[in-house]
Amino acid sequence: MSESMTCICCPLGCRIHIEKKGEKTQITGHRCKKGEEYALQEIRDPRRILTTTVPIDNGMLCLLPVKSNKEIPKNLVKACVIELSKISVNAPIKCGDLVCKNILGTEVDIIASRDMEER
Amino acid sequence: MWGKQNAYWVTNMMETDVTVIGGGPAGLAAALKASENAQVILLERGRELGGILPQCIHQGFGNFVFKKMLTGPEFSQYFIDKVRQSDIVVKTETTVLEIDKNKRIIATNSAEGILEIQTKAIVLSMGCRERTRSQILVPGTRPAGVYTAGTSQRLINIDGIMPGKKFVILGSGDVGLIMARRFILEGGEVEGVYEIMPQPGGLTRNIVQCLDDYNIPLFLSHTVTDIVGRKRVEGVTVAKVDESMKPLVGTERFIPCDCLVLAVGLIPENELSKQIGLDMDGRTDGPVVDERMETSVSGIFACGNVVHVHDLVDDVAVVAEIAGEHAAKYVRENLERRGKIRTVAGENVGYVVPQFLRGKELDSVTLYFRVLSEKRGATVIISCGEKTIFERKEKIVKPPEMVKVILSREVLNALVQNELRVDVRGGK
Ligand SMILES: Cc1cc2nc3c(=O)[nH]c(=O)nc-3n(C[C@H](O)[C@H](O)[C@H](O)COP(=O)(O)OP(=O)(O)OC[C@H]3O[C@@H](n4cnc5c(N)ncnc54)[C@H](O)[C@@H]3O)c2cc1C
Ligand code: SF4
Repeated sequence: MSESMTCICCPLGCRIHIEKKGEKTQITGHRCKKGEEYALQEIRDPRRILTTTVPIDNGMLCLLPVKSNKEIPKNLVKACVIELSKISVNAPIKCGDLVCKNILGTEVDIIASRDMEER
Repeated sequence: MWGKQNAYWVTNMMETDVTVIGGGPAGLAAALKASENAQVILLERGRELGGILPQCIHQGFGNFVFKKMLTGPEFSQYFIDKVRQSDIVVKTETTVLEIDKNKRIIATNSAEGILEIQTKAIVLSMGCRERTRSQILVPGTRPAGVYTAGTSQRLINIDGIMPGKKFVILGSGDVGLIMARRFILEGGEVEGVYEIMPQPGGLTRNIVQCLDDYNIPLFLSHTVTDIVGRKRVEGVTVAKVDESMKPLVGTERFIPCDCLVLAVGLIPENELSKQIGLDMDGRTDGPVVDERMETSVSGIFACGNVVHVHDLVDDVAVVAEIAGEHAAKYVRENLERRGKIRTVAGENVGYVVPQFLRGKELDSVTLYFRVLSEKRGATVIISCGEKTIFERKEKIVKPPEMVKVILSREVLNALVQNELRVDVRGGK
């Protein structure tokens, strides 16, 4: 079996080729270790970092950008965004503050991706 | 008191060493670096610092500068925190109106009225803006529901307003690709992305992660030929194009939609640069700079998207530090300007930045350039007269992905002619 994919771990976007010969898996085309790990992960259990916004009360802006602190299963991204549209938080917030713990039982937390001062 | 230009009633006068114009990642990094050795004022038109980054909530920034992937807001937060801890004087909601060759800056904000800043050095970092419909000449009526990708990004990510339900995206620039995924996640529908060129305009990873992941089709060599709707967009007509990018008769297709998003590229924002009279490069639409990011007027530096459109903020941060460092240096001891060497865009090269080299202080110089067409297995060749000084085989080169070559001081010192030519030869 052979498969090609584009590494999304960094903006370089290396084209990675995976060749499976029986027990052996050969990976080529990556420029760093991260790319190799990504390719293996992508064939076994594809995951994505989730980024979206949640409403924030009393903030300088009305939305707080958030992200998952780890990657979540690719097929749960949309469900998590819907889940997050139900929550709202209060200013002030610091970058990295917890917004939602263990979202949809994925053992991944959603955290703030910037500071938000009070209005 | 009337300003020296006699055009403004100046209500506040200031003096400083270095003034940085624009508080995006380029301006933040330049101001920080300059502040190590000089007094710095940073002027930003918007309400907050960070430039375009606060609205780029996706992950994809900082892999080279921070060795980890950050979102746009996180990346800018790092620089904003540092600027806040420094003694840089920051003025937000302050727009620069005018600059003259004597480095007198006229700016305005509602709290202070008109400011006049006499500065010893200037760093221009005004970023870029999006091309609009009038610049790409889409015919049809002018109903509501036509947005640039960046505007739709701001509406959704900052203001919380969804600009439509069913989207068609014209152009495959990165902002458009990022927004295609965002529209879907916010409950919208994306009919497709239409690109007039035979290859995509955005980075591959965005094609993969934003379109492929969500099964959004990308139609290459296609364009929008008509926008239909009286008050609000009711649909668009798309068609295939031939090699000369003319729509092919008989390939038209009508697509009902309520929102057309234009992702047709960025242009450096250089009204101020032109007004100062800086030498401009017609290919980058930015000012001509040397390896220290100094423009054709000594003491005026430029960095970031105002010089040429960068795909990675990491590169912006690196050149911004060079600009900031040399702006501070210029204030103290002036800069050496000897043996000017021009860089020339040769075969399959659209432009090269810096456009010339003329100092001796940098240990190495990075040349940034873009190819005109995609090639696999091409060779980057840098030559000076008959002599090849650098050669590198490339697996793949594409127009959306900037190519970089680092030349060491030894190599540069050994140059005998005043022209460095960059070619990308061969390949398929
Ligand atoms: C949608 C989008 C997605 C992107 N995705 C990525 C990515 O995933 N990874 C990555 O590495 N890079 C990405 N980039 C690129 C990166 O954001 C840019 O390279 C970077 O923002 C350029 O920084 P800058 O400081 O030159 O310009 P900007 O960020 O545009 O900042 C310029 C600032 O100057 C101010 N200004 C302009 N004129 C004046 C004036 N007259 N007076 C005062 N202030 C003024 C503006 O208000 C603005 O704040 C993306 C860009 C966009 C638009
Ligand atoms: S393999 Fe490494 S260098 Fe290449 S895209 Fe992936 S993370 Fe970036």
